[in-house]
Amino acid sequence: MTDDDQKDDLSERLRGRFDDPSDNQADDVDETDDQEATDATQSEQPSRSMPETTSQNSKNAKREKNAKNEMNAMRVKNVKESWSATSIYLPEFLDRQLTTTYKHADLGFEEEFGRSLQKTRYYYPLLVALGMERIEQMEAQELQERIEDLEENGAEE
Amino acid sequence: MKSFAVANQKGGVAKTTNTINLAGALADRGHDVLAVDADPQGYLTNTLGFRDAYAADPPSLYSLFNSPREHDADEVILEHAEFDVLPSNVDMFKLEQNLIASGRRPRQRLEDVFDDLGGYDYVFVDAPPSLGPINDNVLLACRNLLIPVEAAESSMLALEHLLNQIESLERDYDVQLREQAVLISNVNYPLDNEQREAIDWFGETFEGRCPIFEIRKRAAIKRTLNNGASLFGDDAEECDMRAVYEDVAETLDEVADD
Repeated sequence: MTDDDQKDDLSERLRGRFDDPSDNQADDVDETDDQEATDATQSEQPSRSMPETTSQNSKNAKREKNAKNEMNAMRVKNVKESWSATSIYLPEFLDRQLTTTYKHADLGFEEEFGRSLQKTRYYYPLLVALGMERIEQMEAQELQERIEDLEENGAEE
Repeated sequence: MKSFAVANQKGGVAKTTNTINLAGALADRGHDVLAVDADPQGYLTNTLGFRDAYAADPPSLYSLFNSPREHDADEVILEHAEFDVLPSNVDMFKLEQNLIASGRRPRQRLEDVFDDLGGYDYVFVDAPPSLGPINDNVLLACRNLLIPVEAAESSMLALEHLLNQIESLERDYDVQLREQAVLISNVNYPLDNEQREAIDWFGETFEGRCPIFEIRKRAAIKRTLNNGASLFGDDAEECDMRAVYEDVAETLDEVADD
């Protein structure tokens, strides 16, 4: 991982801490909290609630939610601890596109939902899932054409 | 009482300078303020002119940490012209080892000390430049964090260690720690590329989420500190950074009470 990747990941983690003021789990992804997260991030002043006295009921609810999250591979607390790392080699022009595409997607996502699109947790898995979905639909001939397209793009660099 | 940890395990990011000037700024706004020096090296204590207290026999901050219920913080707190000071003590160097060995709530001792504090509107704690149990005590006692950083790549990457520590405390103690401000300190104009990139990165990361303040490097800040006072002291030198600390103070005044 380069320093830039490390800084990007760190920035995401830090931003994630402000995404959901009602929950102290940095990486929690409860979709029902979207509106609240949007309110917090769009405000000029930090509109964050301090820790509130949590009732037993909400504690239980939180525990149940946490337990559910632990069962869901996409909702684990720390992806770097729970998921395995896979290295890929990319030509420089694709590596640059990877970053640029992420930045566009992140901006659009943040404008829509008020929180960042976490790169490690969502962007990379989405790339792989969407890529596989597409590849499964492709015939060998089409794959060959796309490889040739890539080679053309590489030659233009 | 609102408590703020001025914390970053990285050295040289102006923890002590910021603690003193923020304590001075809030006191200047009419609040009763206590500055706590949790760094065994005692820079804040010595800067504010309490060298004797730093070298004194018990009771000291060390005694409070070791047996919070047996000592009263009032026995140790000193009066400074602008605010009160809970000084560090040379014995604090032994503290981390003792805390680990004792095993009894080793990271919640300062919280116990704070529970018995009375009469303060604000407490600022100058945290040590390490991620050991003293730092954990400071974070758990304060819950609110002010993070001094420098406009440098090393300061960006150092935040990862701090963040790991914060998240591990939140998990282990079921608490929420809150970053209330980022203080980019010692900023030196004209900016070089590294400073500009770092400032941009802090901006992208915290803008709209957590207030960021830029405190420029000024000889007047250092000279005033060397005279044992904040920029808000009676004899402080004129300095344009006083206005920045006033802005930070105003922001902290808006942070919800405990």
